[in-house]
Amino acid sequence: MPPATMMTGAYGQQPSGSDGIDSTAVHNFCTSQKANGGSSSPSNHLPGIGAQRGAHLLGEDLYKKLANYLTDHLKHLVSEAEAHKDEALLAFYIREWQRYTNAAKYIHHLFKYLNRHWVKREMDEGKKNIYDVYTLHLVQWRDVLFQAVSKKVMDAVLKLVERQRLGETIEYTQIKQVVDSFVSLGMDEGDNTKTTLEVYRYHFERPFLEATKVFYQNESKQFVAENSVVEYMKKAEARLAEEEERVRMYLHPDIALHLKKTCNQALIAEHSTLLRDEFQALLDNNREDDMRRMYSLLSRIPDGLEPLRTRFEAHVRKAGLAAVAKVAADADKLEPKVYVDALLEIHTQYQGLVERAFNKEPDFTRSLDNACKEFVNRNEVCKSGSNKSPELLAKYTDVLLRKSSTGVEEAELENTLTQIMTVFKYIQDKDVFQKFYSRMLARRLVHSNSNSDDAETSMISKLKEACGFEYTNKLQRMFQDMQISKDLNTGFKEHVASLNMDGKPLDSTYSILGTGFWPLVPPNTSFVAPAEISADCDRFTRFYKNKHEGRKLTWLWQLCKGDIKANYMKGAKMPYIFSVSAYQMAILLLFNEKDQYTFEELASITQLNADVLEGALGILVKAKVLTAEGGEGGKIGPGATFSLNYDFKNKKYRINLNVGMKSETKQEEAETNKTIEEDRKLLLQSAIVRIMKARKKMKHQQLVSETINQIKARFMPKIGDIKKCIEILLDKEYLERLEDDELGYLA
Amino acid sequence: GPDDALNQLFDRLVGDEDRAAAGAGKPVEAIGAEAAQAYISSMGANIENVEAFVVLEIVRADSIGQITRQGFVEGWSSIYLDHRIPADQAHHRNYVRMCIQNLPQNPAYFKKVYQFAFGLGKEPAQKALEKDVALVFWDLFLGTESSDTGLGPRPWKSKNVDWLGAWKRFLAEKWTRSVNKDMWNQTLAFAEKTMVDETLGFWNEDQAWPGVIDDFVLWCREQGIAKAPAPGAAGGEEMDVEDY
Repeated sequence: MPPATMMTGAYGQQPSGSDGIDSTAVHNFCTSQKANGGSSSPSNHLPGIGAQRGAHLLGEDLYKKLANYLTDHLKHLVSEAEAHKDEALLAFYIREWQRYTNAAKYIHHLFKYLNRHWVKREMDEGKKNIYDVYTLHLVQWRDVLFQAVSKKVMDAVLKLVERQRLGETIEYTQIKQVVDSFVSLGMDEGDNTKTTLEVYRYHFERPFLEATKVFYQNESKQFVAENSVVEYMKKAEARLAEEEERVRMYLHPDIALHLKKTCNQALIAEHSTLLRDEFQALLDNNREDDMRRMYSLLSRIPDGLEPLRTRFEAHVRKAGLAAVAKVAADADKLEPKVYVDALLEIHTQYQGLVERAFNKEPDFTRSLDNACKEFVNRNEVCKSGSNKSPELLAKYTDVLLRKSSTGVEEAELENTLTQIMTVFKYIQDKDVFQKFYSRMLARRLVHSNSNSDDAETSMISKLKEACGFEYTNKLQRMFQDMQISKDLNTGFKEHVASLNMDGKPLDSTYSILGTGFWPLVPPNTSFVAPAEISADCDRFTRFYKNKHEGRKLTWLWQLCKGDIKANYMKGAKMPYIFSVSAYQMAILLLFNEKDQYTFEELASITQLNADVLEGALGILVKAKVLTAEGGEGGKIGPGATFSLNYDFKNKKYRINLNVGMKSETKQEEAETNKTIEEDRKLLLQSAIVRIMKARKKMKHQQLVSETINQIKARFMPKIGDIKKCIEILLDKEYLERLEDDELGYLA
Repeated sequence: GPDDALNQLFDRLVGDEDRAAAGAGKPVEAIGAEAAQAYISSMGANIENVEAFVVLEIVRADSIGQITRQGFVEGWSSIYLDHRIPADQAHHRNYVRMCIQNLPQNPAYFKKVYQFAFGLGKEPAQKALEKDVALVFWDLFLGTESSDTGLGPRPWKSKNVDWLGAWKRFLAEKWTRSVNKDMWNQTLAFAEKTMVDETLGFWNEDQAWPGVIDDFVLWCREQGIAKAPAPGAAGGEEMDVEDY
């Protein structure tokens, strides 16, 4: 195939007024001055060369001619393009672009010699507007054809896209080809190995984004006018997905981010107030899917979610307060379980919402936590005292861990304990929980009515995990004491057996509880233990002291209990067994000697004080084990005489007489609360001393806030209380006042 | 040296009772109430009021009823060292007069005597001042026109407020405990501030004032004694609001 024909074929048609070129000609043309300075080469169609001297001048001539040739060709195409529009124009543009770029590759190859020498030299010398031949083609296309038709082409593209957005199927490969063409025209004029996206961005991206914005502004404005917000969100979500797909199908990836921003602005940001206003209604009606949609939409715009979080927090708080108010009607009789369940229900519900609708986002979790902290610590039930929440939570834990008739499955128990910890996390006064918990743990252990050791251990380790070693130290020690006591009792039994005593030894069990670890105090009355048990007690004391020299044992008689067999009743087929307190035991055993005692006699023999004696007798009389006569105003007290009731009858043979009175529990609660206040004062003072010891000098205000920081994990101290403690320390001369509101540490 | 002269001066103060208290033949290390009062008067100070405290502060007395030899000698000796006041009755009298004149005018000196008085007033075994004693002492130091003992050297009042009167009323209503050292000292610090700013604008609850002072401020506001400065109002003065 002759080169000239190839040329013609390459551009698609014979350009008028120009000759064909072939590679030999180019080579000769460029090198002719070497041969014989002016004689023409065999196919020298280009005029005026002979007069020129050197490859330089010849190359420039050739380059210019090529450029002119291309200009002419492209101008012709421009005039042809005028006949087309819309899709036809796109087809025309794409077809011509492909022909042109194909040919450009050939020509580039053809002009290799020119590229390598003249063009290279020119470019090395820094000449502007000289390109390798292929780039020259692109530059000419851009400057002549693209300049003239790009806007029309782009209009056609946008029309096509709009038709697609309106639901038509379109030939989108055309758009992709236009994009490719526009991108190709972004050559870096300084370096032909590089391209820039500037041409594409200006001529394609910019109008595309503008059209997108206008389209969605119009569409969404109309849509929200005619539809609900919920519907709108579905529409917007679909549109956003569609646009992402569009990028993937036929747009340049460079547009992705900008397009997303444009869509977010038009579809979401411009309607964000409308969306947010709907949020409360969605919350109220628990429309989870719609909330998830709203979340995902608003998460796409800057600061879109903050107002949602605020509303969410307020809503959860309100829901929590309402749930508590519902069960708080009779706060005094409120079941711990009912209260804790009410708290948990709200937490569970909204934690679920955060997980499913709000993508488990930490900020929403924080809002949930804030709200829970608020309604757990300040609600209808806590009005009577801020200690109420931790107290009820501890009581519920006690209910769960105590032996009960309604056995709970191990796995279910563990599950419930985990839920307890959820509420515990929100409790502000963790020290109050600790106080009540340790009191009730002590009771469970001493009376051995704990449900399971595993559950007890599990709960303690949960608390340890949440609050640290110090928090559970005493609880763990209590637990250990019980284990050690078990071994001790085994040893004691062996010891007693080895003594070869006459008769059957007392069936006894002793618990050794470390002073300072147990929330227990010595009895508030004197007491002489009955002879029937005191011998064994003394034996145990000797046994223990032999093992642990120097330890002091204090008998906590108020916690002791035992079973006694009663076989004196007339007409009883078998003896009754009474479960009694040590005090009641001492009283009843006296009736082995005679049938009647006065209150004063009992008091003098047992050495119990009047209050305790009255309490112990009260139950015995109420259960009709004893009968009472006399006494001032019929009361069980001084002046009364007590007789053994031989006619005692009961349906059950085992009877528990060791029941505490209501007033005792109330008193215990009041005591617990009192020790909390005292412990807090000590805790605050030691924190203040610790801080001052480290800092030596400190401004009053700084000291207060530092103290709050150190203490708040246990409880939220009041500033007034901290001030009081500072005053106490000033008075005790641990601290001194310095100038200017500053305090100093006195070693 | 001056110490010998001071010891001789002290010996002259000793009365029969003091000698009896010390025991026969033993050196007298302290003089009791009668001799002490006589000494205070001999120094030209009024035994009935705060002037007595000036003398007792100089001789480092532990209580109102007693002056020790050690305190007397050390006290005057250090004044000799600081001021070259010769150890004789006449010069001591002059020095005491100068101190009494200074009391209302030199706040630092006033504060020294005021704080010293705490130790004088409390029972040796106690850590705090009995409330009744503290009330008398406040009258002596800070007395205003409403005080039984009349004006003190530094009356605790400002243009519109008789602060001491208010303080005493407040304590009568709200305070039953004794007065510890911090409360005693801080009362003067607080008094000094109120005399500069009677709106109590200097106070804020985050500061280190003892709780009793905080309570007093709130009580004053309740009573309308010190109006909280209106927010934004310049100088804490109230705006005139006309009734229509």
